[in-house]
Amino acid sequence: MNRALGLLVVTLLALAGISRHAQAQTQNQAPSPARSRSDEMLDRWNAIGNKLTAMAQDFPEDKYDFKVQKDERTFALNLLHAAALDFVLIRRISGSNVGPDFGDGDNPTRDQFKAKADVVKFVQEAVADGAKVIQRQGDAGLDNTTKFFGNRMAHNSTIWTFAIEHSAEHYGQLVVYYRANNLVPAGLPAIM
Amino acid sequence: MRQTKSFFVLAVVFLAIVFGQTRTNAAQTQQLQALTVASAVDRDISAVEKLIVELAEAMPEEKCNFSPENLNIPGSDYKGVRTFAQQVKHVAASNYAIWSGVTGDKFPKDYLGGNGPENIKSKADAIKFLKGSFALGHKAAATLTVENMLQNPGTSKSSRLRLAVFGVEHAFDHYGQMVEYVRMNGIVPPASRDKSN
Repeated sequence: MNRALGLLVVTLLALAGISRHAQAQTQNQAPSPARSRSDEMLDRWNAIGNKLTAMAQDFPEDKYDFKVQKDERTFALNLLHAAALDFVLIRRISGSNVGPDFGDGDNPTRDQFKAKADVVKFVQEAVADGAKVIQRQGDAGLDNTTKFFGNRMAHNSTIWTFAIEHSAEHYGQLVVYYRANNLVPAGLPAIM
Repeated sequence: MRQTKSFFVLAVVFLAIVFGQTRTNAAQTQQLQALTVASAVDRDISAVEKLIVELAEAMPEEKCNFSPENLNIPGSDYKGVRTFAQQVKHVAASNYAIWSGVTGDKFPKDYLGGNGPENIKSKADAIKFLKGSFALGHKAAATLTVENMLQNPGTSKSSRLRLAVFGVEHAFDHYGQMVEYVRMNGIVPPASRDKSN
């Protein structure tokens, strides 16, 4: 009994020693260099973009036209709207004609994206193309200005942030759509 | 003589337009130059604050304890999800948790657990809690500078800028959920009343 207690004390002391040693090592190490603004923007862009992509891939195709209430977008139209707005903004920031152009609107219809695979591909392309522009333009690109909504100029960092926040809002709506169909989005706890 | 007068009038109008345009462009440029990282983040916080506070105010007090679980939608699983009031309190408590990391303010113990203090029951108190949390967000934004925005405050693994904007993104996520809650009660969100979005 005494031997067992002794072993326990030795083990606890050893663990405490390892923990303090590890802590001291972390404190003595030189801090990792700060990441660049464009790296952080890229992380944020990919984080929400990948969440929407995962939803697009995961949600059953036969429920793509589901909506919670009558006066709102279906599951698929939410995704198409978010990705289409991304493309509108990517085009403005990059000064290119990347992605499909739906005129001034950012509400493509299912006629143009009939299958689940078409929607998934569209969302993936929006995320990938935006990521490429953020990487290519780097920190300097974030400080460039572009014509934004309301006919005003805005820094590109503001426009990227707007797109990320817009996607987050639609992600939140789709979380509710998920649970209406007895599903839980990947990565979310059982209770939101 | 008449032609000269017409020409003179046209010239004055033309100069007025050009001068006016130049002044507008100059004003826009000045406005952009005056935008700092602090003011840019602060504007984002204000935007989501306005959306969420107005949405919270639009939900009638007697429906604040609504959760989609109440509707018993066949085939759904909303068991145990947050009520509307809990969504409001969750956003507020999270705002405090996220932005106190930037400001260095102490995070109150009873804000732990994700839904804020138990004693906040009424709609008015929940909105007050929400508004207070956004006030901390504005305080956090005001601390951001070009020099410190990429530094990690305290023991955080994220930069000050990342924390400041994450609060906004998180709030937008829950705003999207709350939009569905109010629509489930036949209420159009204030931000969507004049347009289809």
